Amino acid sequence: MARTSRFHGGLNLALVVAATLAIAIVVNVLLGGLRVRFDLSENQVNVLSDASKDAVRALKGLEVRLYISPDLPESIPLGQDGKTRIQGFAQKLRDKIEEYKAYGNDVTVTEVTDDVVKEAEKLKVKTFTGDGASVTKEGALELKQYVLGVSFHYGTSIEVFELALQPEYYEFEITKRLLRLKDKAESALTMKDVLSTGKELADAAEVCTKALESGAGKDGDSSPVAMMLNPEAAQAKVTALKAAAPQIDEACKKMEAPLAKAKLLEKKNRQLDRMYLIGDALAKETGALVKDLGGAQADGGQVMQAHQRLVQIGQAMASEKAELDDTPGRRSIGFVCNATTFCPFPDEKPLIPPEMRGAMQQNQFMQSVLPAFDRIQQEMNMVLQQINQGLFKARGFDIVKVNLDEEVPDDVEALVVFGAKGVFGEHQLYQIDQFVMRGGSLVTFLFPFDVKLQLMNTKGEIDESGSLAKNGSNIDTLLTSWGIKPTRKLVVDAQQNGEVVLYANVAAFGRNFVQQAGFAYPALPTFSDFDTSDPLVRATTSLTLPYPTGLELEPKPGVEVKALVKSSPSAIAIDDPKFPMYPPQTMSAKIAGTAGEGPITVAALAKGTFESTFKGKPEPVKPGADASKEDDKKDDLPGKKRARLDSGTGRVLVIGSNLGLLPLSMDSVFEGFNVGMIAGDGAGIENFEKFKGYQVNYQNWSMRIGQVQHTLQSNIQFLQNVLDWSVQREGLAELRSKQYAPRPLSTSEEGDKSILKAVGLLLPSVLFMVLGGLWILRRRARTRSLTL
Amino acid sequence: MTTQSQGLPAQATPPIKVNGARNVWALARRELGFYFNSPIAYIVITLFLVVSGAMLFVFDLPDSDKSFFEFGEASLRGIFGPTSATNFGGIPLLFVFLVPAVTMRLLAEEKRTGTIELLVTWPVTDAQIVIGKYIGAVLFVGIMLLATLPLALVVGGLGKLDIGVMIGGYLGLFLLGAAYAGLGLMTSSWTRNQIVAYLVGALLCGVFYFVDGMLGLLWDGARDFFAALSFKAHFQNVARGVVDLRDIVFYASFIAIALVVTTLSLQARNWKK
Repeated sequence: MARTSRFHGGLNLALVVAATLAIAIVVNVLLGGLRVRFDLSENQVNVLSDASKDAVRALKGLEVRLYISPDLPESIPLGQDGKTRIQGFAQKLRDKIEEYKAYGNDVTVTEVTDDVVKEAEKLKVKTFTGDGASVTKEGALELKQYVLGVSFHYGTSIEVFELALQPEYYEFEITKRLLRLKDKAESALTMKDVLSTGKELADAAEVCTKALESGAGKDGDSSPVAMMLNPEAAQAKVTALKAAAPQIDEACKKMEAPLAKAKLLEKKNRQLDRMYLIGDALAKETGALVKDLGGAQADGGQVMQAHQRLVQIGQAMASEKAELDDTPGRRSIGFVCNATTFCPFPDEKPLIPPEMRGAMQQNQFMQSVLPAFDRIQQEMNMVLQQINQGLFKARGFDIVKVNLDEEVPDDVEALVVFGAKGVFGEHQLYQIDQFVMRGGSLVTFLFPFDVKLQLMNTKGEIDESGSLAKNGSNIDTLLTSWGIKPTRKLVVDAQQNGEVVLYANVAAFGRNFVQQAGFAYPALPTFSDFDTSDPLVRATTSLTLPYPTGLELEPKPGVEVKALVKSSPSAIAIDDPKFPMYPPQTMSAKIAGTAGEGPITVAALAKGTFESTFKGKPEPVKPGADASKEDDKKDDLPGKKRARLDSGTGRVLVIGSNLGLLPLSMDSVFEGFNVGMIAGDGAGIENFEKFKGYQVNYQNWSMRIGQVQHTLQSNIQFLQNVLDWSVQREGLAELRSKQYAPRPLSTSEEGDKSILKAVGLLLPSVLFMVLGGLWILRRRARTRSLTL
Repeated sequence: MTTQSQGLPAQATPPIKVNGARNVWALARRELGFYFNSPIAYIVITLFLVVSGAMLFVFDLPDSDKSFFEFGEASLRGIFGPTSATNFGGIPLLFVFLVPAVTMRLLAEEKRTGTIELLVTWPVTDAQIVIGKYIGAVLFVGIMLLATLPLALVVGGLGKLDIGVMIGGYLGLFLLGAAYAGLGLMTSSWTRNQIVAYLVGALLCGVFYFVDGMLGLLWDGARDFFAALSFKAHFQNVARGVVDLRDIVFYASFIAIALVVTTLSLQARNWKK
């Protein structure tokens, strides 16, 4: 009886447990489909921001393809510690895409499951390797390839998010691509002529290249080395090429029509211009080759070398075409490289013209100076290349060099004038003015003061001094006319500031050592008063700007001007160039107790309809232009010259500091240099001190950067936001801010830390024991009263 | 003279009304009272607070080789545990060992001493007994968590703490503790021996905490499935400050299953009759 009861009971238990499990699974599956989530975090970092929702909503019918290797490893060799864990990233990527889909407008999401790596490679989605490897048929060890990425398809435009290995940036990266995709699809229509011409040119180049390849015969190696080793084979190929010359000529002449079209579109698109140059070289050199082949004495080696080069040029056209296809929607930021600005592009112009070098080699003194100059130039270019790549290109900004002596290219959407130290010519200012009138964004980082602390002299010693000099850039005239007037007064703050890194004597082990140390420095004020209504600085918590000037806001009719960053009330503005800047303690002491003049504006934004600074004035003449010469008139041809505007709707952002990025160019380092100094007999000996000065200039540039470099690290997010703002992508600035919210501790004292550790360990338990004790006492008292 | 009542038919004794909620609350209070009327709660919670304080301020933070002050960030990562799938630490790990200790005696002790028989003579159902005891244990876990709030206050005083993430973290810990308590109560209903109940409870809690890391390693293809069952994966979502219906439903389902099994297990005493 008991056994039967136990059997029934067990059966009953099993049934109920099974039913409960089934219900639980069904409930989880059903409710799992509902996307009900609340993000409690301060900046809503875990749910899509409005910018992302808007971006996906704007792409009706967006198609998303997920490329996720089914056997993704737990970690991959990457990063400093050698391994980066990627476990769970696939699910996070799927979740994020699903979230976009939920807010999208008819978005379809498909996950590629068959041959995912091959399918991904077709769309140029990059793959990565893990620990796994396999042996190929040839017996070689091949690292296994994995893929984790997404492609977005909208109309005929495609954007790819590859190497999705940082889940914290998924939203930023995806939204960035969606915004780009929309621009791309829209621009593809307006750039139809450029794209179709590019395609025609690339197709014609391909036909020409194929004719060249087949003309030499497919058998054998055509490389110059192989040709040199085997003269008979070389001669056979030349004979084949001679025979095929008419076909090659005919095939390559087909490039003439697209080249003519591309020429007509000159300066419309930099990439098409580049393709034109390559195509033109291919066509001309092929013509020359065909001509050579027609001659009786064609040199086999030379012909084959030229042939090889032409095939390579032709093959390069395919990647150039891919680059052109990627152009629509690309928002270029132009860095002005005039008036001794900070220009993050290597200066290819040689200091000494090549034609003069030969003569100088005879001069013993110059033999020692020239290599030093070359080394400085190489190092400078390397540094600039690193800055260009690390600070801008690697962070997704398409920056281009702009010379204001020429027209600003059409595809430049924003101009950045970074720390102009020198004076702009009238024509250069006019170019900036007209750029803003045409609706462009202008970002100006001012370089108002040259502050020199502890710099090296030509004797190789460090001068224990400091100085403050005002720079005389005339960019202020434009800014003032648009409502933001730089006061050219140095903003300093004795209470809220960063540190300057200087050399100092440090006593240790009974000896004195010279080493670098940080000193609180009022001329590096820290700002925490931001206009949080603007996405540009909404999530910025702190900025330390080196040697900033104050800005006065003088709104003009039709222009909205607002302060973005303001100092604390304790800041003051210094106008005296003799103010003691060194040592930092003296400067601090000098301003201590001075009544604060803050808040002082150090960054401001103006937008609206601006009036041209050149309104009512004659158009400035381009330097070196002569109106009487035909060549100079070519810009005046109808359809070429842009119409002059007296007003226009643009945007101007002014930051009163150069973020510590000093100009590094041949002009700034070799200031005052001219070729005459090194020409003639015994050239240059009388200028020895000057030559040494150039070397010191470069060293001092490094030292000055080093003194404030740490502030740049903390200002990078702001710099990126500014660049995003400049190309009208404030949404991205907001997203970037979302990811990073530093929450530094307010204490750094070792003693405080020990006390806090003890408090952390004991406070909760002591509090709990006290409360528990009170509870027990209360309870006992109650029990006692009940007993009585 | 007759009174009005005399004319009325004699009233039958009304049946004792069983107010489920009141019974459950009475049982929950009884259990909570048991903890706090003996030194057990004070010892356990004091130890828990000291270890939590050390995890926050002294030991290296999860996912990092730096301590709180070396890392220099105002966050409660030290007690909320790691954000990566493979590391472990913080209160979630501490709970694996602590919560089964809180629940081990709930039914095992009653069974061993025979007081369960006395308890079932009360006008309460088995389900009410289970829920009442469960709520008592969950309240105890809640009080343990509340006692760590001074740690949050200290960190908040040192820097700008993300309050939303902190609330999410505490909510996640509470849900995790509640799920552990369900498992602990379930194992306590399976045996008369508290030690066995504790060991099996801690083992089960550990299994469900590490399930994605452990079984996912053995069986690559089912990693996602195990991740969906993992307490840690669901906790980490909530601890980021995201209150997702899926996580709430997961914990609620888990607790419901544990309580159903516990109730059935309690009813199993009748099978022998």
